[in-house]
Amino acid sequence: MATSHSVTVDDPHAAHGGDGHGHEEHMLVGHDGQLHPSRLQHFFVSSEQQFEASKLGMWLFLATEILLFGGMFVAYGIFRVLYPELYEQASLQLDTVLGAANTLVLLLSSLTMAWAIRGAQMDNRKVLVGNLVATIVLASGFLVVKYFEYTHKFELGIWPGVNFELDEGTQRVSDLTGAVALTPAFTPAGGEEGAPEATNETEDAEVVEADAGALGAADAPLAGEDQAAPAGDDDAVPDSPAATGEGGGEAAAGEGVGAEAAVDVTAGPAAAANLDAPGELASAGLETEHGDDHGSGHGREGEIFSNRRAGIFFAIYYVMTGIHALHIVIGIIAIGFLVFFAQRGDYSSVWYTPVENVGLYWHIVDIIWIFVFPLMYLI
Amino acid sequence: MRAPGMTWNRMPLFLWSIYATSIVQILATPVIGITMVLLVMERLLGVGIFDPALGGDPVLFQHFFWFYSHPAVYIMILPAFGVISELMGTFSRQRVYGYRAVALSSVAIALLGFLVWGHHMFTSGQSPVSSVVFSLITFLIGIPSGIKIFNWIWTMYKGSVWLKTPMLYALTFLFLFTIGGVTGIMVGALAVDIHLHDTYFVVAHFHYVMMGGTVMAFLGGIHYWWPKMTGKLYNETLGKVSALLVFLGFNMTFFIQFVMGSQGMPRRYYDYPDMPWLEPLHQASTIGSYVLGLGLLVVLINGMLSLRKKTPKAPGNPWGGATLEWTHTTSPPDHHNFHHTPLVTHGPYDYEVLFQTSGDSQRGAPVPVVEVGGPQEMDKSVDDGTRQPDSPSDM
Ligand code: HEM
Ligand SMILES: [Cu+2]
Repeated sequence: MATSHSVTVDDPHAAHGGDGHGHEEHMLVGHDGQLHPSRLQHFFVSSEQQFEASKLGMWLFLATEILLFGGMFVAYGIFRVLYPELYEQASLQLDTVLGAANTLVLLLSSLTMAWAIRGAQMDNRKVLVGNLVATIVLASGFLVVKYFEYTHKFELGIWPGVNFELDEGTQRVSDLTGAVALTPAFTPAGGEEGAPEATNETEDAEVVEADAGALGAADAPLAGEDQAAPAGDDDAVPDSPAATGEGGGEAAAGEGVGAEAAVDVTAGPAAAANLDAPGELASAGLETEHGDDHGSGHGREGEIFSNRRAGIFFAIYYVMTGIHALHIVIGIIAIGFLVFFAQRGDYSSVWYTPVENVGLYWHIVDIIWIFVFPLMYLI
Repeated sequence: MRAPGMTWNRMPLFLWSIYATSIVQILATPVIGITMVLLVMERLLGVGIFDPALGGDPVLFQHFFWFYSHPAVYIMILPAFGVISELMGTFSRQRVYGYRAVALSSVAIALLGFLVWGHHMFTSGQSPVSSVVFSLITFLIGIPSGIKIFNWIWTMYKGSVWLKTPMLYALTFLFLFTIGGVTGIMVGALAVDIHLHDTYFVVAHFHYVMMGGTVMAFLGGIHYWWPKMTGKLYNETLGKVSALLVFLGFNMTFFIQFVMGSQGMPRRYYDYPDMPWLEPLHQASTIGSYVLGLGLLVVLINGMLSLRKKTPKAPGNPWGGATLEWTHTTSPPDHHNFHHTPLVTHGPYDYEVLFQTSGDSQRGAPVPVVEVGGPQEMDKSVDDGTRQPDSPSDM
């Protein structure tokens, strides 16, 4: 970082001296590469110390950012475990090409940002300003792509939450409305019933499988009903115990079958007897809902319900990418300020702390996207 | 902003504890932040994240909530630890024993505090394995807490304990927080907590740590720094009366709740038709709360009385404290706190440095009036800056 460059080259403020604390700072001026008094706060011993202190503050802030997104990644992970099938299919709705393009754009912008810092270190204002502007352009490109992604989804009716409702005719509706078909084939809540019998170790696996089974089983008839199912579905069906009759078999071996009864049996013991319940609690809740839907025989309700469940994936998608996009916007504003001050000649190799800190921020925003992209779009 | 010479090992323990608290605040708060965002999403948009009726997972909410909220209890107690360290040093006229252990145990508590949140969820349906692990780590956190308690006791040992109001509150803290901490370990034990969870036992536990801990330290601290803040001394007799009332009232209110909780009295219920024998206990607890309230009222009245015009002004260092706010400025401090930036030449509890000129360095001896703004005269020869605050030669 700061070497022995002249302090005042680019600094219009250099002319006027200290700000009332002058006498303290004059002791520091003699040193090589020390900051000009107008930039060095009186409570720091040296410009290195000031630089390191403000970087430390930035790192602390970035730690909070990581924890903020960490919460969302945890939610993502939990629901992925609870509804693996749903994730697999819902994520097909995301446009991998656009996502990859955005990844590239962000990576490039990280490069230009790092280059801008290099420019500041070399006292090269052209490199500094040019790269900052390039970063803003790339970041705006990212937002434009995101805009198209979002609007496309809204057109398809993929809104977050309860508003989540696909048009009847949307071609890939079968990807999403997994549990629409509340046909008897689904009733293998038997898959669920298997769970309480299982030993503690296998419990989790059982539940997940059962859940997957439920979705898979429900998917199959729908595919027949609607139009041709996409290739993905074919894999799903054989995997699922319910569909292959495994789950059903277990159920037969266990308690009696029948939608309502099955619901009670599962919800009761699963919640009460097991300390293992996170997965179970949720799936038990689901079973109950399914049971009701089945009982009253309204397929439409079932669809809304299942849509809502697909809404979980898209809710997490919108929250994560939305908050990330918000960070991009804030980054653009911050870099905008940098351009303004850099243009004015505020930064030099001796003092470019804001450039460095905004750069750190920008890299973190980039890195978060590097995780969001594969998790959301690819797997 | 740091005064020259103020190294890590010369920092008052209160500042160490604030440092540890900041770590917790910075690392825990974002998690409750994102939890709230998700919750708002769920309420506004009907997204199923935590609500099982929407396909969400309520246990996830508990994890998020307690991941913040257990560290949050340390946000409450760590500053209190710092205050108690100050009081123990000043009112025992003795260097705080094990300065570095006390300082670093705050940091240890801050970090370990992130790994125990599951002890609030033993009955939530988390996996038994994680319950066992959380129970184990909860036991571990008793170690740094114990380190503090023992070092404070050792500070008083062979010290010259001066029983002014702040010290009475500090001793109350020591007594009550120890009970609160030990019962914390009890409810941290998985098997025991299955029975005690959501009973009055838990209510009593956290009142012993939060009220008996944080509030007692707050009361001790407010009495200690009152003259520094307001420039007026409160009435010592009223102060002692209040400490006594608070101590008696507190124990009467909350100790009984341990008994009721262990007999099965659940939290958050206003009647208990199946357990009529608890009625006198509940009544006693209520009467205790009146005594406690009276004690707090006395504190309030004492403070207000002290602010009257006719109360004489407090001296710069009424307790003989050795930290900068006592030795280097007036009560209350001037506009810029210090006329000149103090030069720190010794640790925060080096009473013998401070008092070496007066023959009696003990027990409420008249405090040498340190000239405000004249730090440089002070004993530079005594300390070359390398000595550790708790090196054996100093004891
Ligand atoms: C010695 C260290 C401590 C241990 C081992 C400990 C342990 C525990 C445990 C296991 C519980 C859960 C009991 C249950 O719900 O069944 C609990 C509850 C609680 N603790 Fe502590 N604790 C400690 C210190 C503290 C401190 C220092 C505070 C605050 C200043 C605190 C505040 C609370 C509160 C507020 C609750 C009740 C939470 C609720 O509403 O359910 N604890 N503690
Ligand atoms: Cu806790």
